[in-house]
Amino acid sequence: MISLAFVGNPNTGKTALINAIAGSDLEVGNWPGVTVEKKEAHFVYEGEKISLVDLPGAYTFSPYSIEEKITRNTLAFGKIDGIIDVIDTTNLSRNLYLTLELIDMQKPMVLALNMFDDFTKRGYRLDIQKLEAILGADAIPTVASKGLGAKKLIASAVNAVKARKIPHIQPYQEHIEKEIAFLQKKLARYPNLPYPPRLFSIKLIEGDEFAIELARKAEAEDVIEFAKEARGRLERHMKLPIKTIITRARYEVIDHMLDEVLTKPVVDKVVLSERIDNIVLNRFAAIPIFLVTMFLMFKFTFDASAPLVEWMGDFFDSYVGKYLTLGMDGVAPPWAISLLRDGLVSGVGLVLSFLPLLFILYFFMAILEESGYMARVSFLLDRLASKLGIKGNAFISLIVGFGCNVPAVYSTRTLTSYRERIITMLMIPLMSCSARLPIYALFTALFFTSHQALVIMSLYALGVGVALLIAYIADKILPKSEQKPFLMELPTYHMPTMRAVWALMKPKLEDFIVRAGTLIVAASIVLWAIVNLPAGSRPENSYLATAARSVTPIFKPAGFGDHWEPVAALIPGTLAKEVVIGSLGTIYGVETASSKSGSAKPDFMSDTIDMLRCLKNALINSVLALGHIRIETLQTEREPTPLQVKLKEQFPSPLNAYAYMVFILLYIPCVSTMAAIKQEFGWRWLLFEVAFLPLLAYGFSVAIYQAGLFFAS
Amino acid sequence: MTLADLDDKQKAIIKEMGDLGDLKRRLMELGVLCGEPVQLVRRSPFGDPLEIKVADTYLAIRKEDAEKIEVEPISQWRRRNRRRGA
Repeated sequence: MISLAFVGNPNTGKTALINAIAGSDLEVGNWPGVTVEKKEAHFVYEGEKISLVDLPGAYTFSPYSIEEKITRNTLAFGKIDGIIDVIDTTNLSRNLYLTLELIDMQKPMVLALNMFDDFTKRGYRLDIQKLEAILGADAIPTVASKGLGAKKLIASAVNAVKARKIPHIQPYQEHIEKEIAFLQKKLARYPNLPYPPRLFSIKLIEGDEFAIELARKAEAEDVIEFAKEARGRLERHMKLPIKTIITRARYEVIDHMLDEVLTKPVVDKVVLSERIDNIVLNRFAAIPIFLVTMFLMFKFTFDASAPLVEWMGDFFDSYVGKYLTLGMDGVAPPWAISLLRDGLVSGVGLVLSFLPLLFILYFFMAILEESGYMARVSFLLDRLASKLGIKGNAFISLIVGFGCNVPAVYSTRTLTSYRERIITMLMIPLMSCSARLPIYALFTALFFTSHQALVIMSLYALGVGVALLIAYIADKILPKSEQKPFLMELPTYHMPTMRAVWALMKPKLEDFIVRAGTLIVAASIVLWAIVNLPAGSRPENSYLATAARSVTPIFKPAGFGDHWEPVAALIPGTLAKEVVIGSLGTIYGVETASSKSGSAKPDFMSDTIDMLRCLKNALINSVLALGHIRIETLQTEREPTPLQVKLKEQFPSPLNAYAYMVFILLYIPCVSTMAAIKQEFGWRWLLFEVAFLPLLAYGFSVAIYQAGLFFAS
Repeated sequence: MTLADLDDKQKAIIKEMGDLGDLKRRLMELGVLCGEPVQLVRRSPFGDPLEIKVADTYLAIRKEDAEKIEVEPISQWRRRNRRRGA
């Protein structure tokens, strides 16, 4: 098997390139020991098993974030046969810096000259053959977004590995090379070092802590001393600090190389990206543009997914559920049918009915990410972040959190310090994820008919407000640690292609279906059990009811402590927020639509046609919603569902409902998020969150309910 | 004069990089080196951070860090070099 590592600066289109090569075969796993996503693809190329490893973007071998550390460590310790260095051709000089470090690894290597179309469009010319001759490695022009050059790249990489085609060393000035040679000789006595000797020597001379640590582990103390001497000699000779000497030396090599192979246009035209930023980052327009973008994203997601979500729900309840019951009638005992229909099918239905919403949300987020706008958001909001002890890029995690808290927790690994990660992690559960939306939708449609959108927005705003408050307090309490200063690249804008957007969306959707899916299904079954047990009981004397009844009075000050049912729904709600609605249905004993329509004569054919017709309507409505000509859904005209009737009974006023929604907003988001927090930050933070969030939720819902009562009287 | 003192869109030559800790190394690796031209592209709407351009790379750094980078605006630099040439 040949394993090829994709390495390159961030935003060079690495993942899109892998996707173009491996198609849908990309598997997402975790790196051993850490929980950073590991993307790998396996396929067979001309009878040879190939494994592609997508390493996180890195600028150099001296890491600034955990992701960069992973890339360095994998290259140093991993079993990598060849390197595919993905380069943003429109920014050659900076990208070649990493290339030089990779060359020093002396492994088979090819260059992917990505974004080659933009490069030529801007009037640049590159003598590729000459570049290949200088580097001793193939350089393949690629356009990852269109899949161009992908085949040739793989062919070339496999060939390089088979022929052991090692790139040429690009020598620095003579006196630096002399020191490198000196050290390499000393290192030769230690055969089992993980780093290749040339790179190791350079890193030791640079005083790189990681390299020194490795040398110490290999008990090569003398080499560390020799490196120190070499460093001293160079610094005295050049009268500059070593880091300056080495970086300068590398850029000199690069400049020299580019003089040979690169032809620049006579007039460098102002890049389109800069003109876009003149508007998007304009001093006065930037913040309004950001807010409107966010608003539109969530509005479109909500509007466009609503008809589809509704259809999915109907499909499972009154179609799958119905025919399942009919098909199994008499074959299986009633309790098994009930488990299957109310436990399993309704669980699966819940997961899938949620899919259109996530699909659309992830689609918009992928566009924002892929186009380069997310980095601008960090730039805009860094000032605010600096007051909270975090940096602008933390807001990207928070925005992701509006979609789903789970990937948001994982995304904190791009932040530069542990302290920033903690503060951001504390904020994430308060970002109202899309799973909470259906609950708001149900309650606001019932209690706030005329101001539905406004009330929902107020909940989002409350979540953000509480998050800012908590971050502010956390920044004051948490011990100050050494900070890496804020630094971020603002990548040039790209027209997002469907291929690249899909590459970003797909793993997230799969993740949801698999991880959240299994969890929600398991939760539905557990829920079915606690609602239906002890055997033969009705919902009101089940285990769940008994447990809920005992704690219900606590919620009196928050306005929903008079009935046990809403409180009971909160318990399964910790498994996944979207379960709350289903639980309410089960707890109230409001049977699914299947039992209602059960009296009508079942006609499989006509029902199937009906379902398809409804799907067509839902799709049309969904598209119309994007164009803002949404035909009002039937919600208001339709007679209230049994669930709505029950809720109307149990929540005496909109204020009670609002306090309940506030509690839903702020208490434990779901077990998946908690699992992610445990994975990333350990048991202590998990336990803290489990204790803290419900208290926070309780405090705010009580405060809001009591304030509401006070002002109402 | 420091990088943070430049006007929007103004170009300058980097003269000296002060004590920037870890950031210094990373900036150098990204091409922010003494003697290289740099442009202050814009400030964030809240005045901080700043967007700078070095070669073809656009970077955002905070004002406090930019204040540690000494620069000489291109116009002055040209004038001085012309004098020296004469």
